[in-house]
Formats: sequence, structure tokens, C-alpha cells
Amino acid sequence: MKQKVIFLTISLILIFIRVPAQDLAQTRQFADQLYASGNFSQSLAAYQRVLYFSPREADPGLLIRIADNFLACGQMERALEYYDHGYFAQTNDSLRVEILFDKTACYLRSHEYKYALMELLNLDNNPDRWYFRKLNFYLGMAWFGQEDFANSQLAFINAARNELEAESIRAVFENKKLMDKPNPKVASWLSIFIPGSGQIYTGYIADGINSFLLTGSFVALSFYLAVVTTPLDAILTALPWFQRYYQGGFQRAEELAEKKRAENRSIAFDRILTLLSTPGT
Amino acid sequence: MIRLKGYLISLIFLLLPLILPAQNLYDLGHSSDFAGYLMRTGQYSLATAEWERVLFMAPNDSAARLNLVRAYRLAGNPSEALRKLYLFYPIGPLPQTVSGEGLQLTLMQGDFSGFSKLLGRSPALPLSKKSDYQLGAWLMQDQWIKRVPYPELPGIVASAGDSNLLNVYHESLMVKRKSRGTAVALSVVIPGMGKIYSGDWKDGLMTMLFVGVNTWQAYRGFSREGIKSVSGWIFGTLAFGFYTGNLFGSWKSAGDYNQKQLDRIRHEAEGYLFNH
Repeated sequence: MKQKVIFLTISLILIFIRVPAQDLAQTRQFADQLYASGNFSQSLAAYQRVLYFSPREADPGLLIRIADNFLACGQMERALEYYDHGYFAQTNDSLRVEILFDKTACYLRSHEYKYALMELLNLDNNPDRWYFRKLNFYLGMAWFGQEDFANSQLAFINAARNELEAESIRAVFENKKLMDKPNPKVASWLSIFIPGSGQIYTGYIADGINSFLLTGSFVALSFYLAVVTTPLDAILTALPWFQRYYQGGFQRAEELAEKKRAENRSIAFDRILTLLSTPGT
Repeated sequence: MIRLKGYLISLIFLLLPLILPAQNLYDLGHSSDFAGYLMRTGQYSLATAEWERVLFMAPNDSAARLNLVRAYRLAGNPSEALRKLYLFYPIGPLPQTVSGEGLQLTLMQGDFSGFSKLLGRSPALPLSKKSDYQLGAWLMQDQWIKRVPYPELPGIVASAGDSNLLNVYHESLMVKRKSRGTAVALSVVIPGMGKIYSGDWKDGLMTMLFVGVNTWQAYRGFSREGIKSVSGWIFGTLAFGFYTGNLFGSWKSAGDYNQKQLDRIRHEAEGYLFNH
């Protein structure tokens, strides 16, 4: 009886002994919580801790989660590195494809459109409708970034859910005012013939008037000097000033047109993304 | 008895997972290990948090102290690194590795007085290394271009160990400082000459052209129509404006030249002195 009581007491003590510790599973859960609440730098540290101390081969999901964290923290190179690790650790083909899409998104975010295209064009054809749309959506963005609008239009149309969406996308690409205007070369040539007209064509009225008045003043001064003194005086005195403002004027017209055109194309791109992401269009 | 033995053995096996301590990834050993991994992979900001935790658990760990200071420096926070260093080592001689970190940090901060104090607290640093730091400090200030007398310099040069740093020093001896006064005086006599003297010959020639042409036009205007000449006054005013601007420009260009040389030598010295 005495022995049984002693033994029971020891058993009860052993049952209630717990050494508080944070093991791999708990750390992973902690990291997941931090990730879910958007504390990416802290979740990154926790995930890496789990990876570093994992006794077995790396879980591909963990590698991808680390890649996602690096992406969220703006560390693109490291994100790409871990997407690659995750890709090679993953044995499931469809999950591998998902990883490639994540990697492509990383390239698109860092404006590396050529690399994004390299990844996308290496993907296999798949009859699945959702996959086809997603692939073409990414292709559309990459081609747009490369300013290959013909291919971009084709890809975005393939990504459309229905004919109405496809028509709307077509309309955006065919809108010359959004996609092609203002033309930098036209702006430059306009300002070569009439200083300031290139800037006005681009929409920068004040800049155009300023350029016209400045350059015009030096032309007027040249004529005045040519009449009052000699043509040589006019050339030597007014030409350096005229040349500086005239050349600066048409170069500026071209730069302003490029900037304006990029803004217009950005508006077009936003419209296409809105069309494709609005539910039930 | 046999029944009791059997019961005991099964109970121990049942409770084994409960009595063995779980792997604690945030304990001292794991944290040190992980902090080292973060340093090796260049994640210095994360490493600082890890080393802080290690030091919280083991405040007297000298390796952790050094690593924390280094992690802050490499994470781009030299002021915090230096603050930690002074906290860990407020007085007395410094260990050799800590001296190196401290001297680098004071130079990065431009704290040359702090540099001298830390140098005095670095008896463990080899003479050649000390001389390297002293030579580097000399090159990172502007005394060398002003040729301020530094009696210890020959001794420092003789005992410096870094041949690259010595090459930078010899390069600095070839640099001729441009005098602002000389640049302005030259431009008073010939507009634009001061800028040419400072190496800015394109700007100097343009200045010569503008001042010359406008002065000539002003002279012609006044010669033809006397003091009532409108073009004479216009070109005369332009010429005066360019001439005055040229004097200021010459003064500035000499200063810019000197600053460019200082920055060049400084960056070269920093490249050899600061390790990564």
C-alpha cells in the first residue's frame, strides 16, 4: 500500500512538470500570427529561425513564406532567391507553377519586365481556363512594361472574362490620346520650327509661352543689332544666348512630351487592371 | 514486485515526452547561433535584435558585445554602435578587436577628438595598425591640403602597415591646393582666368567670351553715340554683371576644386580603412 502511494505521488509530480519553451512548431505559429498582422520584419526573423533550426529538409511552404516576407520588406533579390529555393524544394507541379507566378510578380514589382517575360514564356500550356487567364494577365503586364503594346493587348484580351471586357480593353489600347500622345518627336520638331509650340502641344502652356518669348527676344535683338550695327555684331552678341535657349527649348519640349505620354500610359494601364479585377464585369 | 516494475517502466515511457525539456529556440545558445547566421547572411538589422537578446540573457558575453557593435555599424547605424561601445567599455583599456571597431566608428562619425581618446585607450593595438588609423584620420581631415604642420606624421608614415593607405598619402602630397585669393586676382585682370586656374577651363573660356563680347559691344556703342548710347549702356551693364559674377565664380571654383580633392582622398582612405 505504502509503495503504491509513493509511486502514485511520483507519477502525479511527473505529469505536472512542464518546462516552458518555444519549440519549432510554436515559433512557426508565432511567425504566422505576425505575418497575418502585417509585422513582416518580425515574422521574417521568426520564419528564418524556424528554417535555420529545422532538423529536416526545408518545407517548401516555409521557404515561400520567407520569400513573401522579403518581398513585403522590399528586399527583392532575397525574395527571388527564396522563391527559387522554394521552387526546387517543391515536388508538386501545380504548386511549382504558383511559385513561378509569385516570382514573376516580384520581377514586375521591380520593373524587371524582361526577366518576368523569361519566366512566363517558359511556362507550359495548360488547358485550365483560370491558369490561362492568369498567365495572360501577367504576360499583358510584362509586355506593357516593355512597351510592346501589340502583344500586351493580345495577352490582356486573352485574360478577359467575357467579350464585353475584351472590347473595353481593345478600346483602351485603340485610344491614341492615351497610348500614343503626345509624340515626343512631334513636340521636338514643333519647337524647332516655332519655339514654344512643342511645349504648348504637350499641354505645358506657360512653359511654351516662356520659351517663345525668350527665344523671340533674342531673335528680335539679333535683327536690331544687325540693323543698328553689323550682322557680325548680331551674330557674336546675340547668337550664344539664342542658341542656348533655342536648343534648350526643343530638348525640353521632347522631355515634357515623354513625361506626359508616360503619365497617359499609366492611366491606360490602371484602367485595364480595374477592368480585369472588378468582379462580375 | 514484477507487476510494480512493469507499471513503473510503462509510466516512464508514457511520461517521457512530458519530462524532457522542449527545444527552446529563444534560449541563449539558439539565439547566439541564429545571430551568427544572420550576420553571415548580411541581415544586420535583424542581427542587432538577436544580439540584444543574447546580451539580455548574458550581459557579460564579450563576443556578443563586439558582435552587437559590429552589427549596428554594418546595419548603417554607427551612432548607436558607438553609444553601445561606450556603454560596454566606459573607461579603461580596450581589447584589440574592440579598439578597431571603436576607431572606425569615431572616424565614420567625424569625431576626431573621440578618435584620439580611444586611441589612447588602445594599448593592445599593434603599432602598425595604430599608425594606419592615425594616417587615415589625417587624410580624412582637411589639414593635409592646408599643409598644417604635424610633427608626428613622419613617424606615423614610417610605421604604417597598409601599403594602399600609404599610396593614398603619397597621392595627397602631389595635390596642389588652389588659393581663392589667387583665383579672384587672376579674374580681376583677365575675366575667366581664375576658373581656368581652378581647372574649370570650359566655364573660364565661356566667361571670357561673354565678358569680352559685351564689353566690346558697350565700347562700340559709346564710341559711336557717346554717353547717350542705349546699346552702350545695355551691353555695359551686361558686361559689368558678367564681370562681377566671374569674380564670385572664380572664388567658388577654387573652393570647389579643393573640396573635390579632399573628398577623393577621403573616400580612398575610407575604402582601405573601414572593413565590411
